[in-house]
Amino acid sequence: MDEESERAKRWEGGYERTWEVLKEDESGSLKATVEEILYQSKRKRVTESHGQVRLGMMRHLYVVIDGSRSMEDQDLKPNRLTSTLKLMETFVDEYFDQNPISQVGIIITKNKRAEKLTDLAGNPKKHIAALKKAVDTSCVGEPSLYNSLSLALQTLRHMPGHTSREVLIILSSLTTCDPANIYELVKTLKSVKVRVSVIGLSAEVRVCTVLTRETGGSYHVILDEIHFKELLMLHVKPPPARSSSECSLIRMGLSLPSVSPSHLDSSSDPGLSLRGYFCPQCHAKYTELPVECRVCGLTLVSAPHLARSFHHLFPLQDFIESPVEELQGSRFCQTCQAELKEKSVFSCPSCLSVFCVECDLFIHESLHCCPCCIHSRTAT
Amino acid sequence: MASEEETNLLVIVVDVNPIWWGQQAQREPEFTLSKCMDAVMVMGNAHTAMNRTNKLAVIASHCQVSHFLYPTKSLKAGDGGGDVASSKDGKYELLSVANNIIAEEIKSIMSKTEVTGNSTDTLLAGSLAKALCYINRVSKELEVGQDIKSRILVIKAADDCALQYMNFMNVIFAAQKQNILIDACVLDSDSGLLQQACDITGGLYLKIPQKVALAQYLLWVFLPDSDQRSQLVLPPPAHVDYRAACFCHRNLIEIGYVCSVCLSIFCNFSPICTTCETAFKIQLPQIVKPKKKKLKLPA
Repeated sequence: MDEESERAKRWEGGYERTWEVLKEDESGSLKATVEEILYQSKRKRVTESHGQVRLGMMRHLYVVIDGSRSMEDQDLKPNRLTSTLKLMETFVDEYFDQNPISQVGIIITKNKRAEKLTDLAGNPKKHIAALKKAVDTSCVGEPSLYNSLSLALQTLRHMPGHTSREVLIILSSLTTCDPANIYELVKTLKSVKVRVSVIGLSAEVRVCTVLTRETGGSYHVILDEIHFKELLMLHVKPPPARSSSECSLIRMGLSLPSVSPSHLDSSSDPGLSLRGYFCPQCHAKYTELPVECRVCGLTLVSAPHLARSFHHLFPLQDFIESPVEELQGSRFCQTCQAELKEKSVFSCPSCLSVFCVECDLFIHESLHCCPCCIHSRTAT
Repeated sequence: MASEEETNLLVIVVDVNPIWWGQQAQREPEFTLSKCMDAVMVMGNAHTAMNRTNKLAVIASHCQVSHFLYPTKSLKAGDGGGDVASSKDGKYELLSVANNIIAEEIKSIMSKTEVTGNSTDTLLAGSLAKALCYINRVSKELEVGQDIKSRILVIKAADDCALQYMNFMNVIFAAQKQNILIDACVLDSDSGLLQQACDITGGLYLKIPQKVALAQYLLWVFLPDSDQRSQLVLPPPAHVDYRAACFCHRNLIEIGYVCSVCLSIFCNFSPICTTCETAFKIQLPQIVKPKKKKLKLPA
């Protein structure tokens, strides 16, 4: 019997008196409590960074979507499958935004089999088109964890050592139909260094707990649609790299744009287009980047793609929160010129300039650099 | 046609690098900073006059600070200045207030700010970051049901500062995510960073052949907003050079080696990455053992 996790289940704890969170003030209004709750939810969005940890920037991720009968359940509107596919489209967009040189593949499992919806590719358009078409598929039978994992393993096994190999399973059924012992497969996955994470839509399943614990992934079960989206977006950020992953120099081509009209068709709708890029080694032409040249095998990227990942490598420090009453001088946010009305303000530890809550959120989520630090130091 | 509830916000970022403008005043006395600010005010007035719901903001980008010329903090305090509100020539009040404020603020910035140290380059990335934060704040403060479309117009005078590359790229990606266009009007020399910004966000890039006609170019090319631009014949997009410079020699390269940990680019293979100091595994060619053939000895 292997070790059970120490974490106690929710029904084993005492009663939670959730009504005690709401407190009335002297006049009996709940306004202060409501504002506090809204404020806390805003702050929760700024997640903590990992610190100085090496991140796996080039990722190969397979997403396995459950297509079994339980996906027709209507607890997520309009049904679980449609809702999942819609959220997947957002996920694919965000994923390529944060990890431009990574690749994603989609597998769908139903009727005790698994099949690839899309192969591992670096272009978001193909995946989104396939996801849109998949809305019409029928949900039959039972999923097969073993088959989908071995299908993903077939491709991930041959990926170079410096990339991170990941599988994300979205499982709604409580059963799985496997042709062989899945615990053997878990051992194989562990040896090939594949990290498997699961998002459950129904309830916690022991096989998934063991699977994720052995391979080093995360297992969550959703509460509602908003929670589902949050859990999916957790997987967009690059995970910390394993200590055993190799670091190597990858040969890449930084391709130049061309305006000649003939192109290799790489997108889903065939056609000729004027704008494109050509491979510096073999001069084959492509419509979009990043892509792997089919003629000579060189990975083609453009400099902004690499620049997009820089903010992961040089993350912005968290700002220090302090109450607004302690602030001397003018009560204005230094970037957006707004009056500071919230109860606390944020200051950057290096340049000591003061920001309001909205600017703090925006800076940490989208901008990734402090506007005032840019002024005080000249080097990046 | 824009719907009734849609507001258009234009943020103009003006490069007021005193060193460049000082040299410019000696090169070409017909086009000085005051003429440039006049053109900017004309553009701002035209934009505000196009639609009742249009909004404007102007930021001056100096060597070490960026300052909001309009709207200023004192406006928020409620008192717009009783004396500036009454315009003498019957102009729409909002426009005359804006012009006066811009004129006052630019005078105070140019006289009060000192250039210290050896930083003589304009910190454009900082001003763009402030503009993005301002746009973010304005979008959050809108009422339910109102749409906002924002764009940033950069009027650039001095040369690029290569040290700002990473901050600039962060700003560009943030703008692209929020669907904010960045247009660039370049007075002197071509700027690679702004060309990339305009290409990635979908804005317009134009290098003006005659600086004296700045107001004309601003009104012809940059006044229409993104919906109307599809109907017009505008200057073609510039050929953007996306080649990266290698970290060791700063040469522009086409094929390079990228470190998988820190994504720095090198032109030659080296066993250690200079940025993150990781040692790389070198793939040794596999030694194929020759098969021993049994020689048949002749009988």
